Amino acid sequence: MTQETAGAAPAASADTSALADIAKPAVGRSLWVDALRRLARNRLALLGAAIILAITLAATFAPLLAPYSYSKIFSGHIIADPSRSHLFGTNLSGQDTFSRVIYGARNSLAVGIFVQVIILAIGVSVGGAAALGGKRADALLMRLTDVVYAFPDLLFVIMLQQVLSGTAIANYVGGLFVVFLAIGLVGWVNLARLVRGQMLSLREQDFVVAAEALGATRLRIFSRHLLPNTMGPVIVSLTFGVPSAIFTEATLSFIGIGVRPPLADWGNMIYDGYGAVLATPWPIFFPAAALAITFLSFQFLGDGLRDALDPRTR
Amino acid sequence: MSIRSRWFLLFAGVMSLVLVAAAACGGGKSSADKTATAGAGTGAKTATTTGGLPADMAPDDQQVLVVNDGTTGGAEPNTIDPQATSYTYEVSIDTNIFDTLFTQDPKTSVLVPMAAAEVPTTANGGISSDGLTITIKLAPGRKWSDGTPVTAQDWVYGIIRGFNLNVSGSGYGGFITGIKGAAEAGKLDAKSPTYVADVAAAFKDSVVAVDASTIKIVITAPSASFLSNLTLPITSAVKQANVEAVGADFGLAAGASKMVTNGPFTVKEWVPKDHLTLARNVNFTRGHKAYLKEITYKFIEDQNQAYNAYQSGQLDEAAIPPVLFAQVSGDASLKALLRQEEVFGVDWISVDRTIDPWKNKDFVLAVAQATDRDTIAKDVYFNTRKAWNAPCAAAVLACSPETFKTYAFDLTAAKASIAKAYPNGSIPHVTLEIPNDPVTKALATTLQSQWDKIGVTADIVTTDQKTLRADMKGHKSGTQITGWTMDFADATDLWSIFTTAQIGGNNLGFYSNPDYDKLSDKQDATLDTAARKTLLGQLQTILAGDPPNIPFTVRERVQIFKPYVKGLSSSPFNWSVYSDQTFSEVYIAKH
Amino acid sequence: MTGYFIRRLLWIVPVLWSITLITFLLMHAVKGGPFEAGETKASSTARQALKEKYHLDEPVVVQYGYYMKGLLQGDLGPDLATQGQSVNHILAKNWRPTVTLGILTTIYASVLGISLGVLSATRRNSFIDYLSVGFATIGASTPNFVLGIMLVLLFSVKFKFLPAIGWSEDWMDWRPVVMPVIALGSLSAAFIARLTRASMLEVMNQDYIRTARAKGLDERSIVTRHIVRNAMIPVLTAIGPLAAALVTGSFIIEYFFSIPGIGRAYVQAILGRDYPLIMATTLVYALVVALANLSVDLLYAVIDPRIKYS
Repeated sequence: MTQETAGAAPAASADTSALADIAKPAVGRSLWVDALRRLARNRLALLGAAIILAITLAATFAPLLAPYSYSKIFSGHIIADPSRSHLFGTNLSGQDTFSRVIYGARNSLAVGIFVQVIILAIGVSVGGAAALGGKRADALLMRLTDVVYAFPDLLFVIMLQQVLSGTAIANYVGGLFVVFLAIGLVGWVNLARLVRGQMLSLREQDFVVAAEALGATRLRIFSRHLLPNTMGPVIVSLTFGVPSAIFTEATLSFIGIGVRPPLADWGNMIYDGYGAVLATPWPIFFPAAALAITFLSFQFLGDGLRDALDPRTR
Repeated sequence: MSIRSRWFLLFAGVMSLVLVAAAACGGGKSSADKTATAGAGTGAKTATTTGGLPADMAPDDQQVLVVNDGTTGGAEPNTIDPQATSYTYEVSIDTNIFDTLFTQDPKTSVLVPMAAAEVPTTANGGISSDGLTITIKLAPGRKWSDGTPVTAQDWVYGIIRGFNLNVSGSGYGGFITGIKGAAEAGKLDAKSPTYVADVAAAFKDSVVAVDASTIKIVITAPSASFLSNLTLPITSAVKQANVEAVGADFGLAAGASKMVTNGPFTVKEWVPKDHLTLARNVNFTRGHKAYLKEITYKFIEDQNQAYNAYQSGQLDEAAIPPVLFAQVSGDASLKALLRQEEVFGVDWISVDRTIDPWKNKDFVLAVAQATDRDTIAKDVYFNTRKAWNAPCAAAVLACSPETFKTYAFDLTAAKASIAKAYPNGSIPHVTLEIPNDPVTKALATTLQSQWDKIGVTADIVTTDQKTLRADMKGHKSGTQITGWTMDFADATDLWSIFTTAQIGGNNLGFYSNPDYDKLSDKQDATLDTAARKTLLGQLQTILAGDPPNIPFTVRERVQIFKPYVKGLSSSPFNWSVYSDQTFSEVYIAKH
Repeated sequence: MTGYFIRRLLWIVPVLWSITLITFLLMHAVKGGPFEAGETKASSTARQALKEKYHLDEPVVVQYGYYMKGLLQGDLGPDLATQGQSVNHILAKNWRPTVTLGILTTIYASVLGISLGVLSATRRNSFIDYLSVGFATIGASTPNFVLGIMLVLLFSVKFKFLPAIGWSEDWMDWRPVVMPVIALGSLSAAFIARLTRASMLEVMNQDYIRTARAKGLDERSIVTRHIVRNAMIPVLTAIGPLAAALVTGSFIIEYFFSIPGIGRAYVQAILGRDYPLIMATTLVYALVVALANLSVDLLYAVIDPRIKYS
């Protein structure tokens, strides 16, 4: 997850699959290079990218940045207010909130990004196939999405947790990986429908009809015409998806399932902070603020990307 | 200006007006918090008028109490059929609507009569010389809420109904197995069409209405604790005609208002997931009619929200979230309204004594000695719990916290014990499987860091309640954070948990010690108190050396009532079976 | 077109059936059952008797048979948590608050979201645009219970203007409805706002818009007749499933505000392994999702005349 490149790279990695598809012909390459150039001119997007980069770096170098271990308990300093020794105060267990926010960046970004990768991969494939595969494929795939959508996700999460418990996977990232899988595997439906809807309407547009008339294969139409034009709403959906996945994780905590203590994760920290919210706002404020800042950054970046990718922007 | 922006400005304008209106209209409702006068709940006698009503009582239409029953977390009952109740929040409602034969004095915990005329003893002939036949005379003049008299047959019907597994399957059925015929009834096929009649037949000689006001019960062995079972709602009388008329909905939301009761209240309505309202029983015959006209139980599970609702005036009572305890008790006006009482029970960590490393009693002792309970009470529970070493609450007969000094926090002793258990190091990891709520997580992380000091690594796994129970049963987790609240004051209620017979039931840690089993049975059969105390002492000594679990705190109930709620009583045994959960003496004062 | 929609309606049946099968198998595959040791003081014999009463000790296939037999007769089974009370009864009592909450929240989220989105697209990089970003941040960067507690602390505890808990189906009694709707709908409103904005910007840069401007059409007609209609398609895609998700994803809000709906029942049923209630709430949810998706597809056709179904 280390991001050393500047600018658009962190978010661009989320749609590398699309990039790879399109990087082939000479015309395609210049679209994306051109997009990068335009993105660089968008100050807000750069700000967003910079913040995301900063957070990612903080997450990677957490042991160097955090003053304490995320699990160290300061007995007698329970839900303490921010002070010089505890910049963000402490939580219900007596752990330093500042350190936990930094370490939490790791787990939360992981949740957000990995889940979106899964959702993007499955959603775009299914949505695209439904839009272009003909009536029968469309009907079948959409009914499949109905079934997956109505799936009791909570049951699925519990089952996944149990099935995988004791295996190596469950210990990966302290139980978070199971959460990624669970949220991702049932969360792609909205994106699939979005992609399908966009592509269905785009398909009727003149430039697509023209390409078909010229004999372009379906895959080419998909990758060169439909996909880039679908990217706008898809990117918006993804930029909302990152914090949404973290919220889903907080929701799962509410219900009783979550990442293993003493691991830190912003969603979980928000839920824990809620337990003390009537007494003190700090335990909930800092992870919520971190989440808000991250979200805004993804949003600016996402908007910038959307603007940059639109071939008709002045 | 384009049409769109005009619309938006209109929208924004409307929203701003709404917000301004909100701010302006706010602050109208009185909170009454700042005008608190004398605190509620001192148990002092209320001054009455000549009519017997309290002098400062508000007019009758104001006698409505809205509570969230903070002691039980605002949970909604699944049923209030007395023979079917299983949870504390169900029992606490039942004690307001159904009488039992006996109850416990709120100050002394001694058994006193409720529907009975007196407590049967060998002296007054109520208990036969061999200890097996109990004759209970009913207090005269008692009536049902529909005006018909309560007869001995109603009691017989109610007690026998408790053995109907189709009714009482999830509840307290295991408590009344001392009655002769219980074993036979337990073997019957619950799916048979003649099941009800078969069950009744099993008890035709052992639970009998000798006449309209006398009941005879025959038990299989003399038992010091048997009469205490008759304080449980499962032994309440119910009117057979009513039960049959209401049918399958008896005790459920749909049929609750049709239930005929004999307690200070009847059920007015039960709207699922919203509230349950009791109404004054106008045909109440055990004492004065309830002062309260209505009690509404709301089911607010979120403790923060319950307190918010209290502050905004929607509730007359709420539990204080532990985090707020310091703040509330620091505020003089709020502190006066606080009621803080110990719950009659103990919180402990059940450990699976059949798997490693808990199999080793020195290991269990080591971990118990490494548990700093004072820190837990202060840091995790903000002093709303008291540190405690023993599995028994102080008021249980012959409970000796001294004996359980072996569990006390002592790092040197802990290190010695762990060295004894694992002389060459390589201590296996233990698992703390917990539900994901913030306080339990704080407890687990605290325990984890405390046990780390003696080299015991605890892995914390968060999951849901059902999974963790299944894992405990399946020997997969090894620990469960639980405890026990007494159902009645008699010691047998607690000590019988750790017998081999209770494995698969309440003996979650699979504790099995044949000497212990023998002592437990013997102490229950011993009617002489002095001899019984000696046996209880011996029994505790066994546990002190071979722990079934690791007790850590005694919970306190911390509630706040509005200042105009009067007549609340307090009890060192504040549990639902005791009268301070019944609202018959409570009233709303003029305010 | 009608043929298409009739076929879609018929498709709902096999979809629902496969959901019953998958859910049933999943339920029984998960550890823990409705009657576990240690939850109540019941003995193991008593629990065994209960299991037998509800056929829980029989093979899963047989249990599925019992369930489907009842289902086809309209009987959703006995609720295991409340002593066998009929699930039909529970749903009948508790469906309205959830549906009402869902509908009101959808309206709130759509109206607010679309308005803000349209405005911020037409007034790009203006104050309105940043305001909508700000709203999107507050609404979307806090989990709904955090927004909920902030609202309650302000409007219930401080101003005593709105009730902290409770619900009302009475049209006149609007107060209990306000905060749940805002808390539940703000995340969606923000999402819809951004989606609308993105979609509108996309459409706004199309050639046919430039043509319309060149033709001399006034801005207002362009916005209403061309831009908004075309921009609505991705937005509609979002609203459809959003509505369905709101109906049962409202669990936290129902829990938080003590609303007597089935969203709460759904999660409690899963956590309590209350099998018949899990099946029933899942089926209701699936039905709502299927119908919501169908309505969205219908609206597509209305909005974009080029989309033809056959």
